[in-house]
Amino acid sequence: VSEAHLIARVLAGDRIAGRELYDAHAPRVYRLAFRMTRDEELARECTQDAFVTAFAKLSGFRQESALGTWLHRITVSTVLQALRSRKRHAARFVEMEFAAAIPADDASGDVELTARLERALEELPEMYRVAFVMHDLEGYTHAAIAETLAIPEGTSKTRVASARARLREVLAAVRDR
Amino acid sequence: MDETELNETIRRTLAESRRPPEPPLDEMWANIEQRAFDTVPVVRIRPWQASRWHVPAIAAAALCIGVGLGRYVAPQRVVVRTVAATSVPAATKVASVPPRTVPDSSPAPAALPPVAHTYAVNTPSHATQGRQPDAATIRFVSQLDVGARGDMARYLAQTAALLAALPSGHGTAASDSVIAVHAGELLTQTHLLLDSQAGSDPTLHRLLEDLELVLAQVARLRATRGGTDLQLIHQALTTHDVLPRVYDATVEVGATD
Repeated sequence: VSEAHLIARVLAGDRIAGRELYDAHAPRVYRLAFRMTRDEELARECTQDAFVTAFAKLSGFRQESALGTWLHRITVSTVLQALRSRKRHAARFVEMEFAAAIPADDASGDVELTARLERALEELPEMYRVAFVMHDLEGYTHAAIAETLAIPEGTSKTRVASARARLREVLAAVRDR
Repeated sequence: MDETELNETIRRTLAESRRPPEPPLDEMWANIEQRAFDTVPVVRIRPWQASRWHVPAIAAAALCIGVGLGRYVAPQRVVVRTVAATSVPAATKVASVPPRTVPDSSPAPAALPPVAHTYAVNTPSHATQGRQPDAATIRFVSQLDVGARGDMARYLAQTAALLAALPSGHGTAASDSVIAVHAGELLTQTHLLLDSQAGSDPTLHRLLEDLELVLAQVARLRATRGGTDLQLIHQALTTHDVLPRVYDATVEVGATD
């Protein structure tokens, strides 16, 4: 069954067709959401929100790009919105957010390296971080990133390169200690 | 170590650190299916159909639903503390229920297993101090169209009811799930309201932002989690006077009719 046919059935209210589309795309959407958030609950919520949004807007999907690309665009947008909301949250409800997130006192080299790289990744400008996660962690091609984020392919390459350069600085600093 | 090797080390480290777990596909689909396919079409009140009674009536109905939800998820031993009738803001009186205590021996709803903890309504710390509605917000709300006011009133009433029904202790999977799903729906509405005309009033905007944060926490409640989450939510509600501000906003939105 083609995706176009499934889309038509979903638009007619067929939830079985909706489940088929979901089964085809949810694992990748969830992986992307998790790679971007590093939070199981948030990744789950973002995946759910992304699909709900996608189904709600499906009638406006012109099928000029692949459904997966469109869906990943919605996912990135949903995740970024959730992360911004969480940042506001962290700033104002610090006690809630960090009470359970304080790491155990483990100062082994690998743990420190991971923690520093994670922090550096989080501190990267959003546009660099998204491109890096999609390309280096999730294996998207620059062409796919360009289509998903609606940017030129060269911009995607530049963003990934900039992210890597910043992360290399952090890695070098840890190694030099 | 050259650049390529450094990049590979970084990629490997972060890929490992962010290795996704197995996605809970069925659980996520249940939520998506409910939200995407089970939603009842929203009937908007057209300006020419609206009367001055629509908004408070919607608020009252939504509060009743909220109270009903609270009772449904409440366990056998429920202690509901209602705000004193003489001091409750007008809009919340509509759906206030008389103080009552369900005896320990009363049977639990058939669909829910017996629960050993207590739910309590969060009595607002200064709801009894006769707060006056914010005149600026009332002026602002009066400029919104009737449909937007109705949406706002309904949203506030449902949110107040949900927050009031939050369990004080650790809930059952069923009750936590009902509350979490409802909070998720309200969270979506919060996002929409923040981006809407209603979100441009500073007072309402601040309130919506606080509700966004609290509802996000409530939506993430899971029965398997510790009671700390609930304590922190209650603490945040108290610290930021969230519930009294919701009551105030309900009054302010209602006062424009």
